[in-house]
Amino acid sequence: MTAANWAQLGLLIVVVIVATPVLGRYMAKVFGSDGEKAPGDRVFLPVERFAYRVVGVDPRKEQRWQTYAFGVIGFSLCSVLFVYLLQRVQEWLPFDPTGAPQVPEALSFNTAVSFVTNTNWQNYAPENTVSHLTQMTGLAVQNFASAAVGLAVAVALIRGLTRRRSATVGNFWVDLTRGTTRILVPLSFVFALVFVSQGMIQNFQGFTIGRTLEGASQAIAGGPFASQEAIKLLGTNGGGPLNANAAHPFENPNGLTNFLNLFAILVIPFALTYTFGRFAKNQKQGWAVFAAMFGLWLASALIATAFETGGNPQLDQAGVTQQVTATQSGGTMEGKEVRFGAAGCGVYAATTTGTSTGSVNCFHDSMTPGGGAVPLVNMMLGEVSPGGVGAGLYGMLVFAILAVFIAGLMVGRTPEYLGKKIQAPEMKLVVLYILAVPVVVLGLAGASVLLDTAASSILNPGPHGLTEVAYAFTSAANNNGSAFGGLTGNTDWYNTTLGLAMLAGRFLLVVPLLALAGSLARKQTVPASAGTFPTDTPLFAGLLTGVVVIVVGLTYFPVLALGPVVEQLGL
Amino acid sequence: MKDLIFVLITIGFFALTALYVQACARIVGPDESEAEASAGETTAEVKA
Repeated sequence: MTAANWAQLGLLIVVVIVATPVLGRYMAKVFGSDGEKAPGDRVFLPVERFAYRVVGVDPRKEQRWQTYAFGVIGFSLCSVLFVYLLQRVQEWLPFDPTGAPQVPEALSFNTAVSFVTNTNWQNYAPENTVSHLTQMTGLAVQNFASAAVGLAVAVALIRGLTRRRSATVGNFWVDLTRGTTRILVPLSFVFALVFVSQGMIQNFQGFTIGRTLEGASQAIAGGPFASQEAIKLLGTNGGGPLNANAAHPFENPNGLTNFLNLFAILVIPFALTYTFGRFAKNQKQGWAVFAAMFGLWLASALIATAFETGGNPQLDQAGVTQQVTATQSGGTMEGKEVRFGAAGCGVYAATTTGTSTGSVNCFHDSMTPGGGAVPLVNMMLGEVSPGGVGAGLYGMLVFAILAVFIAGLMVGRTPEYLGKKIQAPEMKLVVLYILAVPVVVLGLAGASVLLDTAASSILNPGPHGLTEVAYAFTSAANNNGSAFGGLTGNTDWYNTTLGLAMLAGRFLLVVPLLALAGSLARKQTVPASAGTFPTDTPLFAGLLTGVVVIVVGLTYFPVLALGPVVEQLGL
Repeated sequence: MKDLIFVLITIGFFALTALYVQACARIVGPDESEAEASAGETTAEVKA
C-alpha cells in the first residue's frame, strides 16, 4: 500500500468513528430509546401521520413479536409481487426511453426477490433490461424499504434485550416509516446532491450515441443514477443502475466519491451499535459490539489489500513488474479500475461484503485467490463486520448471545446478556438462526455442482469454478448481492434457486430473531453478580470476534479449502 | 404459465414463513405476562 492508500484508510476510520455517536444518538431518538421527542418532529410527524392514516395504522399501539413478524412478512410479500408485476408490464408503461422490453419471468422473480430482501443480486445488465420507471418506483423504492425493514427488525431485537417484562417489541409500521422518513431519505438526499456535484449522472435520458476516436459509435447510458446511488450505498443494497456498478465513472466518478461510497456503506451499520448502547443505557455495551465489528472489518480490508497489492506470483516469475512505479499503481490490475488501483479494490471489496451491500468497484473474480476469499469469508461470517443496515447489528447480537452462552458453559452458570437469562428457548432460536444460511448455501451450491444443467453455467473449471458457485449462493443467502463473476446466472435454475436462497436468507432469520426479541422482552432482568460475565469489556469483544470466526470456520472450512485455499496454494 | 408458477412460489414461501412464526412461537412458549400485555409502550414498561 502506498502512503496515499494508508492516509485514505486512516481518514475513513476517523470519520466513521466520529460519525458513529452522532448518527447513533440521533437514531436512538428516532426509535424512541428514552421516550423523548425526536428531532425533526415538526417536519416529519405530519408526513408520518398521513402515511399511518392511509394504511390504517394506530402508531400508539405496540405489537407482540408475532404481529410484528406478520407485518414484515405481509409487507415483503406485497413488495415482491408489485416489483414482479412492474417488470412484467414495463414495456407498456411510461419512462422507458431505452425501449426496455418485458423482463422474462424467472429474471423478474429473481430481481423482485433480490431487491425486496436487500440483496440486489443482478442477473442482468440494468441499462438494457429495466426501464427508468421500474428503476425508480420498483428497485429504488425497495432500496429504501428493504433497508428500513432491516432497521426495524434490529430495533425490535434491541427493545427485546433492553425492556423488562414487556409483551411488545414496538410497532413494525411505525419503525418502518420513521426509519425511512427520518434516516434513509434525508441522508440519501444529501448524498445524492454531493454525488451530482462530483459528476454523477442524474437525468431521464435514454442512450446518447457518441462517436469514438476510432470512428465507432457507442451507446452511453443516461438515467436517474445519483439518486439511486445514494440509497444503494446508505441502505447497504448495492444494486446499481449500470452493469459495471461502482467501477463505472457515472456511478463512481472520482476518488472523493469512492471515499464517500465507503463512508456511506459503513456509517449506519456502525452507528447502530451506538444506538444499541443508548437503549441499553450503557454505552460500553455498544462499543464492545462496535469493536468486534470494527476489528473484523479492518482485518479483512488489510488482508484483501495485501493480497491484491502483493501481486500474482506467477506474473513475478514471468518477469512482469507489479511494484508501484510512476506509471502504475502496482499489484494485480486485472479486473481493477485504474482510477482506484489494487488497494482501492481491496478496501472496497472488504467493505461491501462485510456489509450486505454487494456494490463493487473491481471484479472479484479477477482478484487473487486469497484476496477473493476475503469477500467470500466476510459473507460467510453472516455479514456482521459491520453488516447490513439493521441486519449487521442483529446478526452480531445473535453471536453475542451465543458468546455469553459459551462463556456461561465455561463457568457453569446460566448465561446472561444485559441482565436477561439466556435459556433453552433462546438458544434454540439462536441455533435456528445460525444454521439456516449454511444449510441453504451448502445445499444449493452442492446441487449446482452436481446437476449438469447448473454446472454448465460454470465458466472456469476446478477450484475457481467451485468458488464461483459457492460465492453466488453465499452472496444470495446472506443478502449481499455482489457477484464473483464467471458464472452464467441468468438461467431458470440460477434465477429460481438464487431467488429462493435470498428469501430463505432473509425470512428464515428474521422470524426466529423476532421470536428471540419477544422471548427476551418478557423476561425480568437479574442483577449482575460476581459470576456474571461482563459484556461491556474488551475481553468480551475478543470473545465475540472469536465466536464469529470459529463458528464460520467450522461450518464453511471444507468449501473454502477446496476453493480459494487450494487455488492460492497452486500459484 | 411461468408467471403463475413464480407467483405461487412466492406466495407459497411466505405462507411457509407464516407457519414458521407459529413454530417459533411454540419454542418461545406461552406468554406468562399476557395479563400484563398492553397496547402502549408506557404501560408495557410498567414493570421496569
